Amino acid sequence: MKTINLTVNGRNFELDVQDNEILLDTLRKRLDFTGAKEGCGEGECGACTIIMDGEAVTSCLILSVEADGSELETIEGQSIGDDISDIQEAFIEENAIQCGFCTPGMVMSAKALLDKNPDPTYEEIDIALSGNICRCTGYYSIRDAVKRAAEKRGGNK
Amino acid sequence: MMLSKFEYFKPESLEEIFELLDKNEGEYELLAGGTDVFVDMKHGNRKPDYIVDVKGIEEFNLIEERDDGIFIGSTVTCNQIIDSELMNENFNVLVEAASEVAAHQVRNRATLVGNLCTTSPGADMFPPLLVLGTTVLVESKDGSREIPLDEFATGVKQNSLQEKEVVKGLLVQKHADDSQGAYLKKRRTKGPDLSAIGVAGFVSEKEEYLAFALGAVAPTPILVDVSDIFFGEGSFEEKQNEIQDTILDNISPIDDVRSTAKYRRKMSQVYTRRILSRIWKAGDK
Repeated sequence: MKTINLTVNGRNFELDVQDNEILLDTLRKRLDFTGAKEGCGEGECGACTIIMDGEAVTSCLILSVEADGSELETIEGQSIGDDISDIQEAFIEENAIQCGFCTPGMVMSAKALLDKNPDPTYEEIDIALSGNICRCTGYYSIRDAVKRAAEKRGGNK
Repeated sequence: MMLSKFEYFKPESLEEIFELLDKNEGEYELLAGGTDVFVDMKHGNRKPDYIVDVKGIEEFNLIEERDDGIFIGSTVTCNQIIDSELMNENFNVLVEAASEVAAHQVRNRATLVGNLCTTSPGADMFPPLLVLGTTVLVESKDGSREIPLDEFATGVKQNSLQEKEVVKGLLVQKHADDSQGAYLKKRRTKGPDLSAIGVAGFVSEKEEYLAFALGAVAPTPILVDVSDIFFGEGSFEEKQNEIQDTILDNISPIDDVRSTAKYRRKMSQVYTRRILSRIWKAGDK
């Protein structure tokens, strides 16, 4: 058992975690951030993608103790009530959502990209989202949504 | 998916690592990115009693030019390599190969040294580092030792590291300013996948050096130095054919889920030719 400090979407948490506890489980089961999903549990599908200290990561392959002192961002931090982020708006406008299981991970990968590179090419979008698998919507509307979100932010490549 | 129980340590110095390894009993794992070790643990293939996270050691996260080469620390991730100016200026072959490892999020965690220490026959980091010339810097409480990378892998997922040894980082050889490299990887899908075959090539006319290294075509990655052939007598065609034959003599591919042995042999030739046409006299094109 270790005591760790996490900042999740700007809120501070101090909690005791087991040494073998996975960050995704801490977020979902302990802190009730259920937006990140467990798909494969092996870093292949990207459904558990969150942003950790500015980088998109698969939270299923990180120990909670490894995240001690980190700033985390999850899909829950992207909206307040009906006030949704520009990326979420773009996903709706491009019909980039079908069942929605992959969407939290897709949006967080997109956010990590746009925070660093506000004007990405389609190729850069493909690389940033290469670890997010979608089994129903199809990828074209998703990459268009990321492009549209970039345009909303003023990018126009 | 739960992980089996273990105790977690995050030391801040090498001395602290050795103390932990001396003090604790049972199986242990050294943890860098965790993208191999946690997957293996979830499959029940590894059950460590304790885990030593080496990310607390600052020197392990350096990429820096030194007198005798470029140092890449043990916790440097694939994406750090891709984003590094020093790497892009000097080792484009390594940047290309790092870009082929898994997917973006995993590359934010996965480390070069971790990839080497897992020692999969198809590990993408071996071929570029082999053609560049790399020394693995190893520490233990008894002192330091250096392992040339071409002697590091000893079998499928086996390497020459001894119990309680820790890899501090890599020292990669610097090369003449005319040097060029490339890495090509064949996989089953367009998306992230382990390699069916991976080939790195590196050439420098000033150094009269040409080498290829191949992954997933033998129990361990294979380095083939063909400088003598390429900078010797004969036409380009003759040399190219001799290089391909030499590579075929050095590999021993098998049939598995990712490819057939026959296809791997064929692709070793196709990729060798393709890389050579890309890197040889690349500046003149």
